[in-house]
This record gives sequence, C-alpha cells and structure tokens, in this order.
Amino acid sequence: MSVIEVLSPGLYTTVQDRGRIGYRAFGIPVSGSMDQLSADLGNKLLGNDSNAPVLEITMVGPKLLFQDKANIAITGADLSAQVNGELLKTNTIVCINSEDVLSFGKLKYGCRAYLCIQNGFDVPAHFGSCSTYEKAQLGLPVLKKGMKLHYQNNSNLNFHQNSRIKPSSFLFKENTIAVIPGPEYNLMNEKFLSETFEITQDSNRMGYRLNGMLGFSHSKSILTSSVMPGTIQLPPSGNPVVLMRDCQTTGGYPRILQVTEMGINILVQKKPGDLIKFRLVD
Amino acid sequence: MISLDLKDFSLTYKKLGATAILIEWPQIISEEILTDILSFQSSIEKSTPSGLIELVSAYASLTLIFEDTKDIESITKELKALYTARISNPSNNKTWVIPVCYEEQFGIDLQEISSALKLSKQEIIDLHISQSYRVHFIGFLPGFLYLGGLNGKLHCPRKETPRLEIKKGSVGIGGSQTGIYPIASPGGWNIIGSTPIPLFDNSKSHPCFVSPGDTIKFESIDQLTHDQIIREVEQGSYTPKAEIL
Repeated sequence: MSVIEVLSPGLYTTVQDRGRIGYRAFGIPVSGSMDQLSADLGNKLLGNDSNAPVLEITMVGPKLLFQDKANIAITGADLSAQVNGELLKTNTIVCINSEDVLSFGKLKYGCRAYLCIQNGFDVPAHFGSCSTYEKAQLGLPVLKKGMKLHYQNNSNLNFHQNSRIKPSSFLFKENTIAVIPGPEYNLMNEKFLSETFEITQDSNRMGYRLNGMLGFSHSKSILTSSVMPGTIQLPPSGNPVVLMRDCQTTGGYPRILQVTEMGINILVQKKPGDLIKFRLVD
Repeated sequence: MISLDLKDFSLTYKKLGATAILIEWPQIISEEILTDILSFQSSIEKSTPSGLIELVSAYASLTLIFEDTKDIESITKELKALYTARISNPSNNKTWVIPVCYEEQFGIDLQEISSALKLSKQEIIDLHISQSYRVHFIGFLPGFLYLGGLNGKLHCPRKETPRLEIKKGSVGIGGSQTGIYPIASPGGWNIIGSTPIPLFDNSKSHPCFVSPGDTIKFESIDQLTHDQIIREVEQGSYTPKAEIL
C-alpha cells in the first residue's frame, strides 16, 4: 500500500465518495462529494469506479507528500495546484513521482476541488461509504497534519494517458440556480424568485445559509418531515437555508423549493460573499 | 389476513425533488397514524417497487427515495393500490428500558426547570420515569428518537441560547418533547440526566437497537450504576433490556 503524508491539512479537506445510501431511516445523512459532477469527471479520467473515494478540498488546499508514484487528476475549483512549486495541469491525468510535494495556492475560481487518484483512496467504509461525516465519526476524520492517506499504486495506465476534460465554464460562472417546487411551495412569497441572495459565512457541508434584501419572515412551521440535499428551508427569520450533502434527514421548517441535482453541483462551487438567484424550471 | 382495524386516511402524494415521493397523512402527531405509516411502509417494502433505494418515515409522512427520476403519476397509482391492499403490521414492537442518571453532575438544567415549572427535582424525575414514550421515527441526528407522550406538566421552553455542545447520552426536554442526544451536538434542550447506553453505535451494521413503533421507558439509576454500565458497554457485555409487548 502506498502512502501520502499530510504536511498541512488545508481549510477543510475530507474523503468523499457518492455517499451512504439506505441509512437515512437511522438518521444518518447521505454525505458524499458536494460537487458530484467534478468528482465523477476526475474518477472517469482515471478509469475509476464513480464511487471511488476522492479528496474534497475547500478553498484552501492541503500540502501532501507522496512517498510513492501515483496517477492523479484534479478537478473542480482551480486552487493553483502545484507539484514541487511548479503549476500543475488540472482536468487531466498527472503522474506524481515519489517524494513529490503537491500543494495549492490562490483560489482562482470555484470553491471545492477534487483530488482523484487511480484506484481511489483506501479508506475503511462505514455503512457502505468512505465519506467523512464528522459529527458521527464516520469515515476518516477531517485531514490533520501528520495523517497518512493510503492508496493502491498501479503505475500501469490502462487508460488514455492524454485524456483531458474541458470543464464547462458554465459550472463556475453561472449564478442562477435551477429549482423545482418543494412540498410547501404554496407558503413561498413569489418575490422570492426575483430576489438576489448572498451566501453567508455560515455555509458548510450541512447547509448554505443565505441572506436577502427583502424580508421573507413568517410564522409557519410544519410537523417534522423528510428533507433532502437541495431542499430549501425557510425558517421564520426569512433567511433561507439550502440543505447540502451532510444535512439532517428530517426538519421542521417549510420546504419551499428543491434545488435540482445539477443546481447543487453549481451552488457548492460558490463561496461566502457570492450572490445567487433561483430560477424555477419545468 | 385482512385487517378491519386499519382506518383509511386521506393521503396526499407530492414530489420531493426529482427522485423522491413524499406521502403525507393528516398533519398531526398520533399513534394511529404511526401504526398506519408502519403498515404501509411494510407493504411497500414487501412489494419492492423498482428502483426504490430507501424509505424515510416521520410523524405523519413517509418518503420514498428512488435511484432515478420517477414519473409521479404512475408511481402514485401503484402506491394507492398498495395502500388499499395493506394489512395491519404484525406487532413485534418492543418496550426498552433506558437507564438514566438524573444526578446533579448530569442533570445540569434540573435546578433551572425545577424553578420554572414549580416542581421539585424529584417530582420532575418521577414524572419523567412514570410515562411510556412511543418512538415515532429516527431523525435530526444519527440515532435520535422522536418520542411522543411527554407529560404536559413537564413541557418547558428550549433554552434561549443553545449550548455549543451537548454531551452524547444527555437526556433533555425541549418544548413538548423529550429525547436523548445519541452523539455530541449543539442543542437548546434542557438537560435533566444522562444515559450510559449508546443509542447509536457506528460499529454495528444495524446501528440503532430501537425502531420506530417501539416504546421507551426511563429508569432512574445512581451514578455508581451509571459508571458500571459504562464499563459494561466498553467491554461489550451490556445488552439493552427489552420486553416484548
């Protein structure tokens, strides 16, 4: 088994796959890569299974020492990835040599990058998934200095070494998020759909908290019921919360809208301070 | 076996995103609705609709999550037929006895709610252990049980400022609900005690020993017993106490 040593962890770096399926009835969130499209593209480049564990890197990247060779691909946000201080190509396969140091610099666009590795990271699974869910200590802990990551090195490339993907600029420039009506759509003020919202600092893998200019405060609650990643809850304060991959399984605030899967992948590449709008589709 | 004791509720079927169907009962908390949800859930599980990956129940709803986008009209038709043909869920529900230490070290808000409710600490404990609590569903946190049946005398508003961390095992009262924090979490409930037994065990493939439909009773224990049970849990020799109804 080959080893990567964490020299510095970055802001919030976790291992993710496609998440835990079938355990919501125990109150266990789904988790999984926030931007599943980018994680999937990286795994596809490497010929991996789409569920292969990847590293999700948030805004500030880690510094990693490879003790062995590795084939990797970095997708998603552009965090100026570098090997031994030299800028690295992203969205393609890169061969890393033993003793190489992978680090990241300035955030150019997006919010979350994915470090994918041939065969995936070797991480013990909990409830059928290697995804980190910090609260219940599922998966590996959030990356810390000194931690070791393992993978199965396989220097024989059984795929096209020159394959490249061109990330759609749409994913990173678009600031209109596609939504469909939620179960309590009738409790929504129609002005909600013309409002511009700011993503607040208090946004993470559980949920994105938004602030608008108009007040949408109300006094309605619902009997606690199911919520999903992408559910837009409207608490009485009137400031909506878009639930994300680590969200709780049930909630008691009106579910006015539901962000589409593609909408989630776009939204998670926005960072605090960014402005967004919602657009009702179909 | 056709059951005549199941009352037909008027259900609504809604989309919850592209891949889930939300079935709603009249929006009230009742044991009759709980029984009906569990019966419908069991007949859905037996019929295994194609592409169904999980079911999530709550007080008065059941959500079916599918692998892919579903045509709501055809699935609703299928579900309506299943609902009409459902049979009463055979009762294999259990009653679990959950030991709780209400001593000062754990019942950190007992004094405060004792003043607020004008009840002595002992009266609060006696009221809390004298009821049975039906488990409606698990949600909010891994292993968090939504319990019905808290005595009205114990209803008590949540704390104005939630605590940043409530310890695993803490037993609390928030509004008209009582519950156990299965893992450490921020929270605004008034903490009256602590249970030494794990309600969520991430080392087990079936991580919760309690299921929706079961009943919970609390039993007051002293700190010595609490610490003894902690040791038994650590050694893997503790088995939760259950009685079949």
